[in-house]
Order: sequence, then structure tokens, then C-alpha cells
Amino acid sequence: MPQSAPRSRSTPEHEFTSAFPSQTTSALPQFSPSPPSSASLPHEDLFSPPSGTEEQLIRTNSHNTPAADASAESDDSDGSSVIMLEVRKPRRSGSSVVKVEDDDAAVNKGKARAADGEANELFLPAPVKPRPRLPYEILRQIFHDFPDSNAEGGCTDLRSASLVCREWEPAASARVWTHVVLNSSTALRKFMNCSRASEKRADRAPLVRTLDLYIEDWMNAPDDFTLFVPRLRGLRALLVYDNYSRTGGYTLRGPSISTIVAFLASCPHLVELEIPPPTSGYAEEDLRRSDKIGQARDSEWQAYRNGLREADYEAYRLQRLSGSPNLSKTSEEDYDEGPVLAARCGFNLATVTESIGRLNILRIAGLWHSMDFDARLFANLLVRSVGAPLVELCLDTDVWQGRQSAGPHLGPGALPKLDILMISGPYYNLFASLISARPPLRCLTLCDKKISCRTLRDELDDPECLVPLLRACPTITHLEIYSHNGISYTALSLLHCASLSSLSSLFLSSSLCGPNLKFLHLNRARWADRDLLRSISETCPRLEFLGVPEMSITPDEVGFLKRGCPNLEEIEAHIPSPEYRILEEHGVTITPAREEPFP
Amino acid sequence: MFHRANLRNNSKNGRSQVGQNRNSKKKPVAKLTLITEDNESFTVCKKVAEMSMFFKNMLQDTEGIPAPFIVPNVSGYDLKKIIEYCSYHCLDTDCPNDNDSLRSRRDRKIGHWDETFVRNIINKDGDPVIDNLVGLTKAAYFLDIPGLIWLMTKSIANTIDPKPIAEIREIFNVPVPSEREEEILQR
Repeated sequence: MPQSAPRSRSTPEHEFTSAFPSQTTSALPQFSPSPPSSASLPHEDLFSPPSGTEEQLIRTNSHNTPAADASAESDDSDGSSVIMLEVRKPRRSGSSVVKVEDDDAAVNKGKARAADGEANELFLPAPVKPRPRLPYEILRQIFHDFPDSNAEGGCTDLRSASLVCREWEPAASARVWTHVVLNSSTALRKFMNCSRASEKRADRAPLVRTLDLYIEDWMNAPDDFTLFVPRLRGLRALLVYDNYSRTGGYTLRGPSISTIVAFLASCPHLVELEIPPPTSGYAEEDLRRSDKIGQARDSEWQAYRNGLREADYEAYRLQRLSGSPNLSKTSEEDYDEGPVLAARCGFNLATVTESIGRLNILRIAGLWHSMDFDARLFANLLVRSVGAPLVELCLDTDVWQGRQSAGPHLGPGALPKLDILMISGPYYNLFASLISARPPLRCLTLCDKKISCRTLRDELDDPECLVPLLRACPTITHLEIYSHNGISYTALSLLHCASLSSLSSLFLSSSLCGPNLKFLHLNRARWADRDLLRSISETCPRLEFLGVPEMSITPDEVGFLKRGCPNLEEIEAHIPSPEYRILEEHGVTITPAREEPFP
Repeated sequence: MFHRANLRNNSKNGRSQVGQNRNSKKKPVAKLTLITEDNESFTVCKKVAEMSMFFKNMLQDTEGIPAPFIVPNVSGYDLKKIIEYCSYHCLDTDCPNDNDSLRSRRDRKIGHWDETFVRNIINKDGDPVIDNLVGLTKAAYFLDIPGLIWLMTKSIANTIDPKPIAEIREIFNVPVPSEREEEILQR
């Protein structure tokens, strides 16, 4: 080992110092006290190419290339200077002072000192600690578990990591760009400008996998956003949030149909879509005019549609001949809607329906802010074109209100993966389709809270509708039904046999029997429902949570419940504060009733 | 070079601790002799070696135990730690060792044994911690041990996670970039 070379063998100090300034800048770092051989630092140069200085050092030490020899004044001085440095500054010497210095900085310092005439002192460049280099693949894996942009505090850690050095920047940035959250139209504009700033940035746009958009009013969104969308071709999830809560109950314009179509047509991996009701400028103009004449609206639409039908039928026929699988779902009676819409909005119906057919999750959530016919047709097209991969369908909006619209035509087993279904609005046509499809539903939510329409209420109370649905989906374990009339007796009798573990409703019109029930929430159960408590206590032995926010419960009643439901852990109820302590003696957590947002 | 010297003493007999434990069993176990690039040799049983996809594929290809195998790119210290990890986890069914299960369990936390394992890497007198972590990560990556790669990258991520840029640069010994370079990064 060269480490055994004695200090006395070293060349005279003046020889070393005189040789030092004569080196070229590139050759100088050969004298830096880096690890002496590749054997002691095996990883430095195996997976990532080391920096030029380390490479040169290794070559000089191990092979002693002619080039390296030529760069020094003599063989002896070259070899001895390296040896001397190793002796004085061995790697991992355990020194308490660690000085981190750039190679170039050390070189400059050496030059400066030499120039100052410190020839009599042995000068050594500042120690350079070996730098652990991480290959791109490992860096990518390290950043994989960092919090997303939508996490609390944003992706500050990732941003810090991307600024550490050039080697880290690509891996950290790639991770930052996988989940993009944009909170305003200004942020959206900045994002677009940033992606188009340079060729390097242009490569980043396809890295986006999840895009969260909180745009207050899509009217202010950049005009060329639709043209930008094809750059986001790697997108998996598009989540456009409704701004209902932000704007204090007033919903502004949603994204345009052309924007959503652009996403569907140009993102082949898109599997999750959440959008508020879209808008179409053309139809809105129509409606502003027709709002004044309420009755004329439908007839105007009819006349317009009849006018278009003839011209569009040919286009539809041609598209159908092109053989899209989803078009086969379209029945003859509503043939006109899709092609008419495609012709008016200028998109390829086959491509769009095929993209919708690939979705795993479809959510249309938000209040409908105008009577926009095209947008209604588009939302209808979305629901009707869903395919077998669908896992979650959420229609939390009032689209279709007051309009008899065709539901999807689903045969038995058409939605073999549908797990979660939420309907909040008059989607009466959907019921028949679902009953025939018999999906393996686990969570079902039916709600008429957002709208004051009777249709859903009628559906829920109609034993011909809800009851067959419950019969068709015996796998339901989580059921939420918000109907002003509660749940009918027939439906309840069905629930007795179901393996229901969670039930939320306004109230129950008759006694309940839930042998597997763990969660029960009744928004509108009042003091008059004392019998209900007895029924719960006697028939729900596994209950863990009971929410009756409008009911006041006495300690005696809690004790009675606890005897029947030994697992009961939490009760949400209206309870006078002096009785809290007594109630908690029963081992039950008491949650005071919140202010109820329900109308 | 404290730990390397120690290791060399231990492995002079050509057998690691794992190998000795396995020897005490009556039934002969298929063993594999590994020689690192710094000429340290280890004997491991086949099951432990098969935690590494690299060795697993090699053993499948050769259809039997080959002659002493020289492991390139892995130092003696790293191989010792790798054998320690694999010996513990080769019978652990709770700890997934395939990429698919590791990716699907994103909220997975580091187990107690793994935590101690990583802490022992860190507690080296006078040795830079991050060097060992990075070295072991690269070795695990080379030998393709998904569970260990996950553990190492998670540990490095935890080292970085709540720290400001200057501190990260200090830990990883990254020179402070010039103003121009920083400007490019910011952009």
C-alpha cells in the first residue's frame, strides 16, 4: 500500500510548492486529498460517472498515465506529493472540523497563498470530503414518498431538494410535476407559461399525472388552455373542483365542453375525472334570451334540434359505420343527442366516448348555474358512455332537473366493478339501468338535499324503484338515504336481511333491525322517536356510533343503549352540558350536535 | 476504516456469522460463497442469497450452486450489512420484497428491526453517515433487493425531509452552487 511510504521520502517542501502553481487548473485537483484508491470507495464511480477531478485522481494514482506524468515536473514529485497528502489527511480521519470546499475554491486558495510567498510552509489545499453521489434512479425513489403538492404546506421539501444541486434537480422536479395543484386562473396561466418557457420545461408537462384545478370562474381561464391540454398527455386524474363553497353559494362558469373534450381526447391514460357542470358559450347566449320567455325555451330547443337532426344524421351514420364500441349502447330513440352535440361542439364522438369508457372514476359535482342545453347533453353523454372499468360514479349535481333525459342502457353485468354510487338529484332514468345492470355496489348514497325537487323523493318513496335497487344490489354495506320522508317500511324490511354496517338517513319511519349495523346517523330523529332508541338497543348489538343530532338524550337512556349495544363508543346528540360527566361514566364519548347544514 | 478492518478480521475464516449459524443445523443447506471486490469472502445459504433478485436469477440460470462468485461493485462492509438484512427478512412474510407490493403500500412505516438496522449504520465513530447509507443503497440497487432499497431510500428521505437547503447540502457535501448556477436552478 502506498500509505506505508514514510514521510521522510517526500520531496523537499519547496519542490512541491514550486510545482503547484505551475499546474494547469484541470490538473491541479489531482493533488486534492481525496480517497487514495478506488477500492476504498467502491460506489463513487460505479453507477454515476464521477466528476472530472476524481476520475483524474484515480487514473493518476492507479495507472500513472503518461499524461499525468507529463503534467508534473517529475515522476518523483508527482508520486510523493500524493503520498504525502494521504499521510497527513487520511480519509475518515475523524477530525472534528470538517471543512466543505469546492475543488476550484481550494485551487484558487492555493494559488493565492503561493503568490503571497508562503513558500517555506507546507501548503495543502483544503480537505475535500468525498461527495456521496446518488444516481437518478435512486433519487427518484427517494423523492417518491415525499408529500404531494396538495399536502399541508405544499411540496416545500421537494422544492428544496430540487434546488440542492443540478444532479438532484431533474429527479425532484419530475416528482413535483407529477401532482400539480393550481388555485387560480393566474396560477394556471403561470403554469402554462412555465411549461412553454424552454424545451427542457416542455418535457415536464407530460410528467403531470394528477391535475387539481380550483378556478373560480372559468371565463377568466387562459383562452389557449384547450390548445395546451394535449401537452398533458400523461395525465391520469383530472380534478376540477366546484367553487360553490368558495364563492359563498354562487357558482360561476365551469370549464367549457371543449376543454373537457380536449382532456378526454388527448390524455389516453385518463382514468379519474371530476368536473363541475360544464358550460358552452353558445347555449348560454341562447338561454339568456330564452330565460325571459320560460315556456318558449323548450320549443326553441326542439325547433333547433329538429333543424339540425337532418344534417347531423348523416354525420352520425358515418361515425357509426366507423365502428366505435360505445356507440352500440346508443338506442335508436335518442340517436340524435351525441352526434348533434359532437357536430355543434366540433369533437369526434367516437374518440370521446371511447375515452369515457376507460374511466374508473367519474364525478360530476356542483350546482348547475344555467340552463345550458349543450352542457346538459354533454353531461348526459358522459354518464351514458361509462364502461366496464367504472368503480365510482358520483352525480352530485342538479343536471337534468326538469328534463326527461335518457339514462345509460346497461345490460346485466355491464358495470362489473361499480363499487360506489352517489346520486344527488333527479336521476330517475338511472335507476332502471342500474337495476338491470346489477352492479356489485358497496356504498350507495341517494340524496335530494341540494334541490327542492320532488322527483328523487318520489323515487325513493316509490317501492317500485328503491326496493328493486336494494334487491338488485344485496352487497350494499354502506347506505345513505336523505329523503324527507325517511325510508319506507318495505325498504327497511329489506335492510333487515342485508349485511348493512353503516346507515345514514334523516329518520326512520319504523323500527329498525340491523344485526351488523355499526354506524347509524339520523339527522332528523326528534324527541318523538323514543321508541327508536328502544328498537336500536334491542336489535343493533354491534352498534359503535349513534348520531341523533336533534335528539336530547338523558343519562338513563345512554345507560339503556349501552346495555343493548356494548360496543357503543360515540354518541352525537343534543345533551345539556351538566350531564356530560355523568354520561361519560358510561364509557361513551359524547359529541355535541353540530350546526346542521341540512335544509 | 474501523468497520472495514473489523470485518476483515471476522471474515478471515471465510465464513460470516450467518454461515456459522446455518452450519449448526443438521441438515446440509445449499450455500453460496461470495467474494467482494475488496477480496472479502462470505458464505450465505441459498435462501438468504435469493432475497437478491440478482442472485436469484443467477442461481436459476446456473441451475445449481456455482463456484465462489465474485460480486463486483459491492464492498465487504456493504455485503455484510446486506447479508444481515437478508438473513432477518428471508423468513419474514410481513415484509414485502417485491416492487409491486412496496409501491402499493405507500404509507408503510419502517419496522422496529429495520429502524435499529439503519441506526447501526448511522452510529459509526468518525465515519460520515450518509456515505454508508448511500453506499449501501447503491449496493442494494445493484443486487436488486427491493425491500432494502425501499428501506434505504426511505431513510435517506427522512434525513432530507424537514431540512433547509443549506443543511441538505452540508449533509451530502454538495458545494454551494455559484450565483449563476443557482439562478438556473431557480428558473
